[in-house]
Amino acid sequence: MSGFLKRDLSLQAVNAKFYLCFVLAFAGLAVFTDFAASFASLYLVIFAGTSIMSLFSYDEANHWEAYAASAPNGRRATVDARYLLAALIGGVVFLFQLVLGLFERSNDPVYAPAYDPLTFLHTALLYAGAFLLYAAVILPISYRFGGTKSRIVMIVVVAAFSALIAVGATSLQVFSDGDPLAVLGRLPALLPLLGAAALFISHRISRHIMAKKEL
Amino acid sequence: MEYAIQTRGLTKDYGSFVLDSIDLTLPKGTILGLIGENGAGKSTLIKCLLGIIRPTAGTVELADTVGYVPDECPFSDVLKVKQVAAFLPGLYPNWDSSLFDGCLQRFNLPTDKKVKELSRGMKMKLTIAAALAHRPQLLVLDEATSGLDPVVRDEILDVFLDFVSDDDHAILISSHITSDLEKLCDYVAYLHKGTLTVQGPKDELLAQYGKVSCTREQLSAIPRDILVGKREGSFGCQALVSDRAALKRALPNAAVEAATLEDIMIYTTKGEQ
Repeated sequence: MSGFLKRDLSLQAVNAKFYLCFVLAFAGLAVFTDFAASFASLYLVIFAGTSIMSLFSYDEANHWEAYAASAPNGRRATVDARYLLAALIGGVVFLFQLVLGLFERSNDPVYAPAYDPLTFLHTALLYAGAFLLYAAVILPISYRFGGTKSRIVMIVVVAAFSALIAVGATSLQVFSDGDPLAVLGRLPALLPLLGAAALFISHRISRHIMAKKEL
Repeated sequence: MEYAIQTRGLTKDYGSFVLDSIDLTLPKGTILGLIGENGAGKSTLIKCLLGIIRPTAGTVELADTVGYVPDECPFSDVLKVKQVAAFLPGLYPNWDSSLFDGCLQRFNLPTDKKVKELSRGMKMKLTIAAALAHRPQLLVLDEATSGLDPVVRDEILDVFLDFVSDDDHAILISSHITSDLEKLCDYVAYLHKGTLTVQGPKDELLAQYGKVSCTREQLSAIPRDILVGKREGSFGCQALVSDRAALKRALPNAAVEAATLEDIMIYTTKGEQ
């Protein structure tokens, strides 16, 4: 599996410089101006999600999956490596937001009185959890449909997800006695757990897809 | 196992195309050339052997370790050769870095160049180096020499001959370039529309098959059971027969010459048309 992980990391590194420029620029703004740190983290999540999808495009361009399948335990190892990479990226998103949040708030005299380390932790957990959920959805779709088709499928998924949020927000309003924030306040703790569980299930599904896939 | 490859009734049914009940054996220490027209099923057969696609029926037995060289370089264009060299050891338990480095030197492959900066020949050499460096018993090459110039092809063919000098090693190579296979192979298998039409030791096949130039009257006198294919023109006819001795008995005065693998391929295809 280590070879597959190294390959994915090498491919990620190709685009990382470009992504890092943006993220560091936003991070700099967050630390030295009133710019919200969460915006930089949001960008990191989007970039991370895009770069995971781009790995499938690289695979497709070079018929990598067929080559990988000819290696010992190749089908399983290639899936395991990509999920490990997703989990690692989730960790990076968490640490990035945590560190950035601490810098942003502690340097800001306006927010200093309301300084609460738990807030930074919650935000970091939310972003990491959101990324894990995203990865849990996109990975099996990409394994099933490949790099190009999965982008189209993802548009449908995002549309469905948006509709779900709209329905969820309305339901939350109805079932929370007009105080949805009381329910939403539990999200930081729940989302990473939900993301990890979804990633675990997603990993099983992707392994199954790859085991059966005609390459 | 005395064979590097042994298949029994290997079938892959796509509906519109069927790789039909392939019985194929490749003894260790030998090279088998797989020939056939485009769409004959060569890549399908190779993918079935390697488990890249699943056969509909039949069995496959392979040597324990297999090196695969596909028709296109599988390494991403944006990676440098040294990055490829860094991740490959993690793919194969038997990886031999010194052997890989030796291959890179032998093939004059620069490690600090990106894959996209390499020529097709260099990309193929890189893929072959990767296949050799995990010390496989069987090397499977799918159209690996197509599109390469004769000098590079010759260099690569020498590498294959070196590889198979070990009696425990074997090679299956599919190619359109039948002249390469004539130089290289001990066995030949001709795949036509998903069926193994001709299979056997190359020297025996070439000794057995013959090409004859004749008149229309002579053509009609050739026994049907040995006539593989024919070409009729305004100035004369040519035919490929599967038994040169039988042809000599039927047409003692006909000019018979040795057939090439290309003749066998072309006339077998034309024979059906």
